[in-house]
Amino acid sequence: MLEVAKLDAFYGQSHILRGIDFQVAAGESVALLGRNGAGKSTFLKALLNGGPQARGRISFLGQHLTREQLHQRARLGMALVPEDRRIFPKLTVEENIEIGGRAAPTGATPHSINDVVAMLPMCGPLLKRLGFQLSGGQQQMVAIARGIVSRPRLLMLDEPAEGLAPVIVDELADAINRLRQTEGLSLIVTEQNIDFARETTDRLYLLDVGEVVFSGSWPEFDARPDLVDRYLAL
Amino acid sequence: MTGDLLTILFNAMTWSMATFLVASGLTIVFGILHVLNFSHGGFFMIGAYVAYTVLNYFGFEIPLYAYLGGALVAAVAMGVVGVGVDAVVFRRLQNVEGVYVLIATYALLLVCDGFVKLVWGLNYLSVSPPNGLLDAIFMGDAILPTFSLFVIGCGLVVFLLLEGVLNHTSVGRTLQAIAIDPWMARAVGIDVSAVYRATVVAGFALAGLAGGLLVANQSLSPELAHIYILQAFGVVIIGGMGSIRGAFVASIFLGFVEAVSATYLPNYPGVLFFATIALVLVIRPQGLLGKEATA
Repeated sequence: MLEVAKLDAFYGQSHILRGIDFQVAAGESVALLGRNGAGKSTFLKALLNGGPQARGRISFLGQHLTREQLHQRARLGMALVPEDRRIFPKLTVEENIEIGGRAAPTGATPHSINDVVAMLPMCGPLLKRLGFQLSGGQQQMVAIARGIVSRPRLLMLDEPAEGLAPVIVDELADAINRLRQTEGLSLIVTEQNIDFARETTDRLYLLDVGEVVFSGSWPEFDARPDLVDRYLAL
Repeated sequence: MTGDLLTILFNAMTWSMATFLVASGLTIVFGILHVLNFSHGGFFMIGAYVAYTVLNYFGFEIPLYAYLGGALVAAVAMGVVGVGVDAVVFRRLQNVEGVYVLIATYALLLVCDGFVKLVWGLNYLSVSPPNGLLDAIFMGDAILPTFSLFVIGCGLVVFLLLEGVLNHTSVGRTLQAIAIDPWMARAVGIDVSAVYRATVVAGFALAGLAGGLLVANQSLSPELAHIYILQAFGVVIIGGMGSIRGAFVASIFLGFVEAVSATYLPNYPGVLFFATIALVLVIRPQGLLGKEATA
């Protein structure tokens, strides 16, 4: 459903991504691992046309993406849960989730708030709270709720486990796996946390300094312990 | 004495609401686009002249509906002008430094000045208040012109409408989201550029509306823009840049400062006004209702 071929991305003069080939099949969940600065967030933003200048082929649901702007790509069914969550601080949780429904394609109805709460029960008690009154874990759940309310086809989670307590990380993994099943979502999960990525994805790409240095299944990855040392260890 | 007090109170509120009417469009555009539109007063002034032209057909007997209609025509006319100014000027100011914004919008103000001088000339013009708003109410020693009551009412209505839209509608929530984080707003599917365009049009329409509503409040001259833009800037800065509620509170506050100053320091116009602005900014640089850190 997502096919990326020879993607290069730039911020001004800086050449961030080089020749990325990347695929996600319908219903599949794929991890993108790499250190800070490897280009994981830039990759997601390049898919969305949300900042970096991108060159290469991106096709989504059979459609070649060329000049579509960020909001138009969102409406095609690409939802991003950004690294810093970016919950709207002065809106309530309910309003934050509701506004995510703006990404629903024309003619499609977004999920109701009740549906979203049924999928992500942690959001239930928070609905009336303002965005800036949330803990990190709560922000993450609300950001995911805001991402899925429009019934996207592809959900992109940018380092979702970052900065969260281990208990919350487990809950998050459960929530993401439940969503995959109920919603039939495709997922891209960028992570530095290998365990979390393993729990929520089927296979992985490894990114280093803007290039894909490994792609394969988790068993294949485990058979190459040198990869962790070379590309993920701090 | 009570007459004095009532007069001060009344003059303060008239000044406040007249200034708020002008400041409302200014603060909305700043709040959403972060563009400080120095030319706002110019379009307010053209709005007033447009209303003058409309009302000229009625001579000295202007029915209230015509007066309101004139203001509406001015609002629509300035809204249309806003479409053009957005396309030619504002869209280029999104990602440039504040100083360029200042130069560009100041240049626009000069264009407005020149346009008014060309079309309506240098002479002072005036419009009389509409029928029914020509007399005054006497309370003790105080004389309260009914037209001033009308201006106060207009300010309150515009404030309540804007507050209602911004805080209790999905349009308002969209605007709040964009004001805080336009990138994320795009990522949830909002066409932020379209909202920016609509905001500029709304800001210009508010300038035109203010011009039309206040056209009988003072005589018309090409100086009008400069008088009001200084007042409106004072209100927007003191209120906290971009906040409608802040602009409202600040306009009342500065209205009282102005009225006290006019009564007790008539020989030093403006001194107390600017001294107060300076003092408030020393104590609260973010303005009365502004946030510590701007988004």
